[in-house]
Amino acid sequence: MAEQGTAAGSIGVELDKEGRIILNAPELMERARGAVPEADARGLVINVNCVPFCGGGVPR
Amino acid sequence: MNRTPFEEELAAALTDESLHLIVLPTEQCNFRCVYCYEDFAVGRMRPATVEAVKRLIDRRLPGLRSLDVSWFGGEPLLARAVVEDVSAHITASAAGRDDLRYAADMTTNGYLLDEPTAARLAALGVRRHQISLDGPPDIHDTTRVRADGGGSFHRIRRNLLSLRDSALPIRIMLRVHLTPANLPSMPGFLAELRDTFLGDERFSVHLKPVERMGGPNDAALDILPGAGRAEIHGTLAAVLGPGAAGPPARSACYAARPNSLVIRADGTLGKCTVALSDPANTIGRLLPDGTLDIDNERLSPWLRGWAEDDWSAVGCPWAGMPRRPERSREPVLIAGPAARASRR
Repeated sequence: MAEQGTAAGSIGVELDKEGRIILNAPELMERARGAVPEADARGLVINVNCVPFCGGGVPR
Repeated sequence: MNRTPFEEELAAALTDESLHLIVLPTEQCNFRCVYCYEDFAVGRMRPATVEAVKRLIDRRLPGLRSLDVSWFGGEPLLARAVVEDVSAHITASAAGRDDLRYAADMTTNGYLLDEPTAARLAALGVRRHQISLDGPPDIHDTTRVRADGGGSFHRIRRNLLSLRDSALPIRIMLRVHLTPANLPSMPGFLAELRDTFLGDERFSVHLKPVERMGGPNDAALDILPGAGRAEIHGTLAAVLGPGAAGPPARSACYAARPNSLVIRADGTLGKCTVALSDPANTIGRLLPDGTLDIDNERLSPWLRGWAEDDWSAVGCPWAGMPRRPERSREPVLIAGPAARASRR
């Protein structure tokens, strides 16, 4: 794992020129493998600020 | 396969079969809410950028099973033609794609969301709207002020009533802001909302304390202290009854998901809709041909929580954004032992 101040791709996740995900982290690849889960299907409503300083969306 | 909740979020964040675009068709607004954090420095999206948005979607659509488009601003309905142009392009492109789930929502102040406008948008797939209210008219009109200084409550309410009376296939989330000043009026106001709207299952109410989020009036804003918020929420939610939105489930912020991007009106790419003026939030640029010029070094800090199993960093990657000490506005990725030490 990268140390402080390291740059691009340090966690093994980048985007290509079409916004597709480039995964170079074997552990993340393994954990992300498989069917698209419930968390994706429920989607998000943006800017609901569910936590202080805005934590993003809440389930639809 | 048994997954932990974190792994559910991780898998959703790292799939290329899903794409979430948060598009700002204009960053101008017809309101000047006293707590707003936006600076209105960018205007309406130019035609070349609109075309670039459509080309990006064209590039990605064949590989998608899920496309979410969130319209944000500024006030997106000030650039309604842009919303309709892009949305019509998506619906035409997605026609016949039974394997594709497309959904679109809009964060609007509601002033321009009359029934004909909502109908046009619904036909183009924009069927969920979030509209904020600050209380009864005498309070709302002092905080959600129009840019020309006028009030906004009565027109928003008129629009909401016309939407309620329509048969449109839409969902309206009424976001009700809480402040120390409006709390005394809230029980009565929420009871009125309940009786007027919550009999219609298309409407819901979400209670949200106002926060200091970087706007010019932050120092003067009176906000609810952290202690006691849960009790206040519980008391007011009881007024609303079952129509109140429940407490949010633990989930990752869109800003932490690599498959979610903010496209600003000038074509700048970001991750967060709150940190619009933070240089850390500029991670690239949308190019005219629909490709992206991504700065992956700037992107990495937004994604750091996934590698660390850090719920706080995926819940709000901006709040704990690590930065270089010598350039305090510059983001920097801290991963591994240094990150774990910094959180202790």
